[in-house]
Amino acid sequence: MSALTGGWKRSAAAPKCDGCVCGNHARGRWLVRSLAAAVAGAMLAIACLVALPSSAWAADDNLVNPQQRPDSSFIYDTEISALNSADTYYDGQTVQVVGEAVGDIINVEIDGSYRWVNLSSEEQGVVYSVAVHMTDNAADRIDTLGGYSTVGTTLQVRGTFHLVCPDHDGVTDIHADVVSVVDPGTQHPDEFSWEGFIPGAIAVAIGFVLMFVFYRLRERQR
Amino acid sequence: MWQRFTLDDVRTIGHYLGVLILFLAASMAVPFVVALAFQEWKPATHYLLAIGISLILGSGLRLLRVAPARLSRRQALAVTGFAWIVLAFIAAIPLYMSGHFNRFVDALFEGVSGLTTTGASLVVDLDHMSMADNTWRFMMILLGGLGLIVVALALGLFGKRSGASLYSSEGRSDHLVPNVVQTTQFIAKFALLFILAATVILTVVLTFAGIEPVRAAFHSVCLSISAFMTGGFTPMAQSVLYYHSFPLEFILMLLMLAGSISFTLHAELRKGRIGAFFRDIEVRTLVIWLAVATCVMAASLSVSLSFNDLPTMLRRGVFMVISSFSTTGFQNITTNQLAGVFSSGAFIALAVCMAVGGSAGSTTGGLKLLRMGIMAKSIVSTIKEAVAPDSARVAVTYYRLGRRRVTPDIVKEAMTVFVLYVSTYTIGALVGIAHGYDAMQAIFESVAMASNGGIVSGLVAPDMPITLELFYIFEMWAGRLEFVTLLAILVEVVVSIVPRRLRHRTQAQGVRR
Repeated sequence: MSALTGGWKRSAAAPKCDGCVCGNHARGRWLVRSLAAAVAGAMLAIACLVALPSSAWAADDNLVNPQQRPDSSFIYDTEISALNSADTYYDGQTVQVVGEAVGDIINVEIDGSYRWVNLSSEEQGVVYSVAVHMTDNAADRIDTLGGYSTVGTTLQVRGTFHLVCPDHDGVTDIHADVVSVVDPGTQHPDEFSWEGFIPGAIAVAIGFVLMFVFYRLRERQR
Repeated sequence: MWQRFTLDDVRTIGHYLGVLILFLAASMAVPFVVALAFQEWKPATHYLLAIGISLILGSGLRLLRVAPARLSRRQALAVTGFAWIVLAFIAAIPLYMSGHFNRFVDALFEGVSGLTTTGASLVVDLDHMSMADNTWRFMMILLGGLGLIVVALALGLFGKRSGASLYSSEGRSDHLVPNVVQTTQFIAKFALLFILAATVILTVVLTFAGIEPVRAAFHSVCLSISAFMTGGFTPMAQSVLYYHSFPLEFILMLLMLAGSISFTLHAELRKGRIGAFFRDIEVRTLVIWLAVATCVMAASLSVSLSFNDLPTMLRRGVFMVISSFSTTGFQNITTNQLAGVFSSGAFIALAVCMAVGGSAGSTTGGLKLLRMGIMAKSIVSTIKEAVAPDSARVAVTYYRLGRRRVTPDIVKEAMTVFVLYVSTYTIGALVGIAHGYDAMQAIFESVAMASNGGIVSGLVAPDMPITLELFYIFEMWAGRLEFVTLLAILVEVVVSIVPRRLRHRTQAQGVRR
């Protein structure tokens, strides 16, 4: 915060020129500040370029949320697991999560231009999920939905988290502002192989032999 | 004097358990066919192997007694009691092979939860589970909801001679038609008709919600089975909340209500005896109890910070009340909301709803409304006796397929089961607390397990302690059998294991004292 808004602090080691109003010192300070600002700006731009994947670049809507609270309410890069155990602190905060789109894209009742998408992510062997409310255009970016033998499109969603959403009868959800594709979905269908069926076939055959033995014995007892 | 199981008893019990295992093997053909149809080859190999193992075990056990005699009452109790846990072991084999469970006990928990229609689940990553494995989960709910013995009797697997003792040993006493086999066939046909009708409606609803027709039909079958059998499993991890559909929730509420009314009363309605239906003690208790529970829930939510506006309260609150009272276990709120956002009053109200349960002779768990009604009548009777003159004879009656008197025997039976349930709820809560969990959540979870309610507040999770998990498995098993059958077989097993000489010595010491 202070780095962005608090201005510059004079270094303790810098030569002091108390009460000086000479042009040399003023120009020098101005040059140092300009140089430092330019370097910081360039570093920030490079960091952004490195952090954002290429697909996200293309997909970002760069929306402005007029209801965005001051910076203190901005929680960046949250885990879905954290939202699954969230308390009221998270309610109404802007969050950014990454997860796999699973299941189905479900139409939002009444408002046909919105969809529900479930995002899930795994953490320490447990899978967590959260419902995301997004536009149909954003949902169209999903090429694959996660299920058996498919890994769904991985999305990065930035939006407002509601612990008890006032617009959707109390559901826990994220109202997405920005939806970006991190990774496309993949399919890995089961490959058929006869070998896989052999142990089962042997067991079934033994089972039928035992059944046959039972019926023979019962017939003999009659 | 306790009776021991003889070797002959063990062979006969083994034979009938073998029959049930073979029946389970035949049931596994359904997920096997689903796996082949959807080209899920790995699950197909799992189910083929599980069918083979079941055939070997079932046929092996049948060979213990090639020509069994008619089942005695004791043997029938043992067959019924052991069936639920033995079949859960077998059912857990393909589930464990699916790779969606961290350990075999988790798969066993799922098997017991499915067969007892509890609905609590320990599946890891349910959203990526195969159609075949999901089909098997709902097959378990269907078989368990109808009653393993009911299904086996309806299919004539036990022949004609052993029907009556087996039927009553599963906690059923209602005879809709004179013959036990015909009664079980009626129950099975009636339930399947309900499920079929609901499936058609839900398929339309889910297709309109944007789900592909084939998936919509699959989800509809699963949800219909789970709702009418008051099971509580869902095909997706977020339970009913996943669908974000009010029409779906409304239909599921109707199904849960229908599932929590006894099959005897359904038969009365089918015969057009509407008056008899509304005079019934259970229907009246149900109406009063639901009204009280809903009011308490509404009052508790209205003073809380969340869920306090009317539409939210109606949609979330009423659904959760019906889901808990019918011991289904569907959730249209998240577990986090249940444990952390719901007011403590609403939380406890749901636990009490689960503890009481639905109608006797239905697919619900819990204490049952009939027993609650009888105990209320007994209190009325006691008050009447206290205020009546000494010479007066007080008679309190209730309506259940005709007018009946509240007799001491009926009250004793109701009180015994009440005490057993409450004791189990308490012991389960203490076990949870001893594992370091929050007391409120421990109470809630214990009630959810023993009543076969299935709504969980966070203790039931894949990483839960194994000792707690095993106790919950026991609670589900005991609750489904309503304790008496289970206690009877436990006593018989203990008596049979303890050497005769030691028992005689203990008895002799007791007499000397």
